[in-house]
Amino acid sequence: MKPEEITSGADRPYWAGLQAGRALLPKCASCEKWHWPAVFRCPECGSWEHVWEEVALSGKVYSWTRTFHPFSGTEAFTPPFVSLVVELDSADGIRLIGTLEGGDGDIAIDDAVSGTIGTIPFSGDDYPALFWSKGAVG
Amino acid sequence: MSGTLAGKVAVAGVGVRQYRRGTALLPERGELVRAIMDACEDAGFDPADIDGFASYGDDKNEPVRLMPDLGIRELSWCSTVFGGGGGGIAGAIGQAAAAIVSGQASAVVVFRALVEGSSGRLSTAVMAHHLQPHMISAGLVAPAQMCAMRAQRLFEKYNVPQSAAREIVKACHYHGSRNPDAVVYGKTFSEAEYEASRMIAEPFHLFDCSRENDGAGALLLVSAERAKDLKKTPVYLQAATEGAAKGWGDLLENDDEDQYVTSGFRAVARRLWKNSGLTPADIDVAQIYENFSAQAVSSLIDHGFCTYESAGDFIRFENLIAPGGDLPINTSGGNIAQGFIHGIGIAIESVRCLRGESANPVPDARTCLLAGGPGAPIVSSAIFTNEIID
Repeated sequence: MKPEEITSGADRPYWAGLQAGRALLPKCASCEKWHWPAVFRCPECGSWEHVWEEVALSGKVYSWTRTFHPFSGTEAFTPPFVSLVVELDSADGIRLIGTLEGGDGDIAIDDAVSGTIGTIPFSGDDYPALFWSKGAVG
Repeated sequence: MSGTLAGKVAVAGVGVRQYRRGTALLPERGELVRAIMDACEDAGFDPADIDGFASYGDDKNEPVRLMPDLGIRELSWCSTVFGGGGGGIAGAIGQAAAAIVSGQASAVVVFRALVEGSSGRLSTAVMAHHLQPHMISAGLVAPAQMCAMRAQRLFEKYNVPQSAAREIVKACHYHGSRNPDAVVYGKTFSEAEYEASRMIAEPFHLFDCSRENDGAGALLLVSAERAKDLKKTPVYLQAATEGAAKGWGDLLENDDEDQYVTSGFRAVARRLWKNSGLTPADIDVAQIYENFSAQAVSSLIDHGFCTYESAGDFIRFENLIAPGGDLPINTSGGNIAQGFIHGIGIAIESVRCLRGESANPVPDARTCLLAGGPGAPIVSSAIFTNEIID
C-alpha cells in the first residue's frame, strides 16, 4: 500500500518510514515542538514545515487492554492478545500504539518495553504495525 | 445567574420503540416515524406542525425523508452533532433549544433510530469514525477496547476501585429489573454472575458493556410558553453544553495526561454548572450514559459528584438507587439494563423521571442531569427541571 492509501492525514511520512523499517515522527521545523497526531500546521508558531526524525522504539506502557472477544477486524491476532499504548522515552513522550509480542503475557502500566516494526494483514492489505516486547532495549 | 437557555424551552412529549436486535416490526425509518408519533401523542401535538429536527451519532435518517409520513408542512431547521458516538445526545437537545430560542424553529424533534438490519451494527458505525491504520495495526477495532484502555489506567494509576464500575452495573440492573420496559425486567442479578461473565476486553466483563437494541426514540421540544398549553407537564431545559477541551479527542491516545482517564467532560461540565446556575449538590437524579461501566465512573467524577479519591465511597449501590440514594442514577436501567438505542432511552428517562412516570420514582425530584456518551471526541450534558428555576 502507498502511504496515501493508508492515510488522508498529515502522517504519510510516518507510514512511509515504517514501510522502510524506520520510526519517524514529526517535529516543527521552526519551534522544534513535537506533534502527534501529526499536524499540517504547528499551532504553537504557525509554521507549515515539519521535519521527520527517526526515534528509538523504547518506552514504557501507558495503558493496555487484553482482548478476549473475537471482534471482526482482529483476525490478524489470536485472542487473547494485548494492545498497548506506549509512551516513548524520547520525542517528548509521544505515545504510539501496538501489540505485545507473545500475546497473553503479563503486563502492567509503566513496564519498560521496546518495539520492532512489522506488518499485519487487514482486509486484504498489509498494514505496517508496531510489536512491543517487555524489557528495555538490550 | 443562569445561562440564556434556562427555562425557555421544554420537552413536551417523548416516544420510544424498543426491540431485541433483529426483531423490529418495521425498517428503521418506519420505527422512527412511530416513535415521533408517540411523542406527538404524548404531548397532544399535531405532527404536521413539527418544523425542526436534531440528531447525533451519524443517524442515517435525513429529516426531509420524514416529512411525508408525518405530514410536515414546512421544515425550517435541522442539525446534527458531529461524531459517531453517543457523545452528542445532550448537544442535540441543546441545538434544538438554540433553534427555538433564536426563532429558527418552533417545534423540534430530537431523535435517534437504530434498526441494524437497516443501518448496520452500531459499534461498526461508531468505529468507522475512529478506525484508522494506527488502531487497526494494534488490533483495536471496537469501542469496548478503546474504553477498556482508559479504564485500565483509571483503575491502575488513579486507584479508583473496580468495585465502582461494578456498583453502577448493579444499580442499572436493579432499576431495570423493576421496569417493565427494560430488557432485564423481572430478572435477578448477582455480583457472582457479574464476576463470572466472560471477559470481553480487560478490564471489561460482558456485563460492563451495553448491548445494542433495535428501535427509535424521539423528544419533542417547544418553547416553555407553548408547552404550557400541551397535554403533559412540561420538563424544562435548564442548560445543555457540548464540546471538547484542548488535549482531548481523537488524538491517537495522546490526550493530555490529566484528561486521559476522564470521559472528556471536564470543560463541558464546568460550562454546564455555570450556565445552569446549579451545582452537583442540586441534582436530584441523574441519567449517566454508560456505554461501558468505567466510563460512567469517570463521567460522575468529571461532573464533580465525587473525586478519584472518593469514587469508591460515593459510587456504591445503596447510594445510586431510587428512591433513597444520594444520587439515584439510570432509573430506567440505563443503556446496560433498560436497553440501548444509542442512548436515546436515557434522554427520555430524564423527562419521565421528572414527570413522576419512572418505574423507579425519585420522590420530589426537581432536577435531572443527563450526561451524554462518555469518552467520545465530542461530549455533552444537559440539566432538566420540572419547575422554572431562576
